Amino acid sequence: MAAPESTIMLTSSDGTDISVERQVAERSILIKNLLADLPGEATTEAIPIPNVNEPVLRKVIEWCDHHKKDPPASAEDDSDSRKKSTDIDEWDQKFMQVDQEMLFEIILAANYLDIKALLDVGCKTVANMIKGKSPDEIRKTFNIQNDFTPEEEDQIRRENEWAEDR
Amino acid sequence: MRHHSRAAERRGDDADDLEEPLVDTTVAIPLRSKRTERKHKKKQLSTKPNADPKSLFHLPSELFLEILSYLRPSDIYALSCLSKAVREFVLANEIFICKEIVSWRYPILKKSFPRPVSLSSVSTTARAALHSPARQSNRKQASYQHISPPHPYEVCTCMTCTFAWNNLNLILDFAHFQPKLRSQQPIPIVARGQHPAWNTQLLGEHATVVRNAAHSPLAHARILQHHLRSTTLSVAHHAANASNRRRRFRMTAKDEKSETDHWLGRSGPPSTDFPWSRDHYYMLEAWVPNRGWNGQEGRWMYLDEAMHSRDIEMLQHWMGTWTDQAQVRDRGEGEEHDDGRQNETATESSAVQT
Repeated sequence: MAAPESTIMLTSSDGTDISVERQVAERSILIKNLLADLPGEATTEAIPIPNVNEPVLRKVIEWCDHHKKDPPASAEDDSDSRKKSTDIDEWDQKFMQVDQEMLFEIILAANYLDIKALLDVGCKTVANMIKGKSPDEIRKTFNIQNDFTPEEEDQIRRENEWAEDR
Repeated sequence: MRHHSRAAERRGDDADDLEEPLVDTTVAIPLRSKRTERKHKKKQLSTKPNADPKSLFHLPSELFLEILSYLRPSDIYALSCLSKAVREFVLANEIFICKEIVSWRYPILKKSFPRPVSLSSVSTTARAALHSPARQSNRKQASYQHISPPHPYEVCTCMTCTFAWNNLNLILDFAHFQPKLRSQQPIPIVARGQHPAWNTQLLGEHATVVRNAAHSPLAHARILQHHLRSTTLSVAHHAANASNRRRRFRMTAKDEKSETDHWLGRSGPPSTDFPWSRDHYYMLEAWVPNRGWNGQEGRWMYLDEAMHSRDIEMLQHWMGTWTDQAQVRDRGEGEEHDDGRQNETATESSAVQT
């Protein structure tokens, strides 16, 4: 299926074609590099995204569309750990209010499509879900089975008592 | 299936109707073979509900590590208590996780509060120099009421490591009294020469943590987190007092919320005098040692990380000098001893002659 020149077509893993503005799709470094390597006429063909299903791909496109005017991340930004923070933009916070499965799917998709900013937002969201919680609260949040024996748990708790958040 | 007793048939017993109905007690023979076990295992696996592949701990390890890099050391401790698998993962990647966290949360405190080197990481010759009787007799160990001294057989006791030990212990002690300081309650005073049980226990607990930090980057990172919190609370507390106009580090609400130490990179009062008693805690704001302000470049200059190696080299050099001195001294004493004996012999012989 051909698409107008300013738009490209992406095919999700479940075979759905989604038309996307080229500028929006190029937030993904993977797609950007792919388009740069393809000859002009080939860009009218649908690009298969085999690792991402339709709902997740639509969600990722929604994020890319909102951030299409953002300046591209430079190599310096990546290397400079001083710029790291756990702050999340208000819109992104709302965007990430999804169920856990979708959240992890978005993280995986951002990693696959090489969208560093979206990956950061996803990782920060998960980190904020863990931050300041006790082990029991984290287990409840992520549905994790405690497989320590009571003796082991008691010993670990005594060892780490000084390190608990107070 | 009915069973008839052969003996009864032989006897021609016609009282069949009096016999109790026979019960089949045979049991199916359990099948035991590797093939059956494999089949059974396969069946079990197929009936077991699939673990959700899109859960936190099923993410690729590089993504999970990326998530952990946004956490604080105390959160990493909490994570390590979740399950055996998570604990194993955290401990296996402890160095990487801590490096990532410390590099953006505590880059300044990391330079100001290095870890003391564990004695197991010190070479045998350096150990001999550290433990030489000549050094031990010359060494003057400062005795503090809020810090227990480093044990010479557990951590390196070169000058750099002793300072590192004292500073990390100080952090824990200062953090311990934060609730009292912030609620403006007095800190219990320990009279000179007294060793109350509570204080001995407290110092022992702090020493255990710092000893652990000599091996564990996570414990070190957690100590730095403690100090950033104490410092933030102290600066905020003193800044709120309008009559306290001492020079201090500028800390905005955003800095306070960031839970990073970048604001300590601004110009501020240098940390020169070691808080040698708990009385100093009342006015202590930001204790950030091992650095000096370079006015020309407008930045803090930190002590070289190779200080420990230099201390050890110097110690080994002195060790040679001490050994030479001790040998000369021993020889001198020996000669004096011999002279004495000769004199004694001469006196004795003259006495005999007389």
